[in-house]
Amino acid sequence: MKLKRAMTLTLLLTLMSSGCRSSGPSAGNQSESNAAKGKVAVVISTLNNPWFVVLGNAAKERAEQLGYEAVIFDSQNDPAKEAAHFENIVAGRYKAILFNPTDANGSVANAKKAMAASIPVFCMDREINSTDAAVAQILSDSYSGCVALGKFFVEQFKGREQVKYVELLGLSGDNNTFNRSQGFHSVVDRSPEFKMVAQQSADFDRTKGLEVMETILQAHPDIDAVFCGNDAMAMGAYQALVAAGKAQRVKVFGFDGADDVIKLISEGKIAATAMQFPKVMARTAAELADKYSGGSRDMAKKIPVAVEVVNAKNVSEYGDYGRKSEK
Amino acid sequence: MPKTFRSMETMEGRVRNSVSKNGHRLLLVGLVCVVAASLYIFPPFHIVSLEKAKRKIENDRFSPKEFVESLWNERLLKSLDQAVDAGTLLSAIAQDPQTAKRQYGRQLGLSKTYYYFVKGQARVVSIKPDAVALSMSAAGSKSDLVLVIANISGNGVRDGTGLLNVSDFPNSQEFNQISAELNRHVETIIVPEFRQKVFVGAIVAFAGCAEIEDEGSDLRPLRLIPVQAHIQ
Repeated sequence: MKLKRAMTLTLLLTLMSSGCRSSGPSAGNQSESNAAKGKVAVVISTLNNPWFVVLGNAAKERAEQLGYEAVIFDSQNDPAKEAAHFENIVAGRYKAILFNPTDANGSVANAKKAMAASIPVFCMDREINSTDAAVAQILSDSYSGCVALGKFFVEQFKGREQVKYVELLGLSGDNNTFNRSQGFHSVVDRSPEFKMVAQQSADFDRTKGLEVMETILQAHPDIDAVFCGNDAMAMGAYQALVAAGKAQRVKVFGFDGADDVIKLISEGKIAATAMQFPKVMARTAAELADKYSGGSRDMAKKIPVAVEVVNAKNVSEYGDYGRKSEK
Repeated sequence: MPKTFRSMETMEGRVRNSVSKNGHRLLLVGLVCVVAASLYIFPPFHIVSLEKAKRKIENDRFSPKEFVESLWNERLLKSLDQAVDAGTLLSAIAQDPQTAKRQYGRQLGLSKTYYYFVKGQARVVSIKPDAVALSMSAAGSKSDLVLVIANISGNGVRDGTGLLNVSDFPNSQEFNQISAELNRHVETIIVPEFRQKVFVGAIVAFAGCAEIEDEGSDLRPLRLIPVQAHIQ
């Protein structure tokens, strides 16, 4: 009888644990390795964009190299899902969180909750509006990147009397959206020949980028350029332009350095992007978490990571989400 | 029991009931008064006009213009003595750019871009619509430095002076707005006055910031965004 009860209990526990895994972190992302230093959570805003998949995987890989078990959590751009992940992470006594937040303001409470539970938080790529809710924030210098991209944009139309362009913005809750837009406009708005005929959000999403661009093209069929706050939207905009037969005439500018955009730049189909370095940011976050775990507290609260303009002239130097020479 | 006694007892009961009811009423009135007073003194919410709410949001919003005015007058102008002497820097760059960068340069985060904060005196050798070329020597037309007098972009002034730390700003948008406002300050306050007075052969006392994006850049002449430029 006792043996039967024990077997039933074991079976129940096994079923429960397998159920937890499939509903918690993304299936297949749980490390099976024997992690000597404990568990590290990699919380990513969305895995629906290849750029963030690279960010998450690079963080996980580096954490594992440093001796941790790393688990990726997908927030699916939903602050509520992110909050639920943090509840689980705090309950699960993780050693650190490598965090790509969904919302600059909305995610502060989650990070503070983890910090209050003595779980250090290290932000990657996306910022939270606080200087005490994370140990360090490793962020792309989107503003400077878009200043450089803005200069390149202006150069492309040198001598033209009027240039009509469209801007596709990202998520309104992400500081990157506005830093990129402000950096770009800090240059382009100085030249009176540039006229922005439409500015709309497509939420950093490829499908929305396509849909928004299709709508804009109906109202403004004579545009010369599109500046997109990320490469996913640039791909969507490019698809819309191809469908409308305007891909040759309208120059597309993105931001990220995604592989598909790099390929299209090399084929002369997209004008430029700005290479962020997701692997550099993810590895740095994992390394800082390891140093923190080892007792080091001498860290800058915010660490900007430079962004580089990629165009037809230098595209051969870039690939696989970084510089080819710096793999 | 005689009828008189019974009616007296009933009356007493009525009086007692009435007193008890009045007591309850008084207690209730007192309680209502206390609650009303508490709500008056500590209201759980305030009703404000939409206009007033908008004004408050506007007042609470970060003002890059006010921040930069205060930064410029109270800190930046007082920090000019921390800038490296132009002659010293140019000699160091001529000897070894890497050593000069390590000794006098400033870098922010993980980036190849670095900055110099430079001061000195030099002679104007040429004037173009977007730049004034300066020579450190008493004779000759070769320019060692260039003061930019056109549209200014980038973070040269913000990051070159080393007065601001990104870690002190909860929202990087504010940090970036400061950069744009500093550039605007140079364009609207420093450059117009300098442009009006400058002439070839004039001796200029200057301080400025150089933003170098690429290690392979030719640093002769060194391009500076002026934060001060006076004709001597």
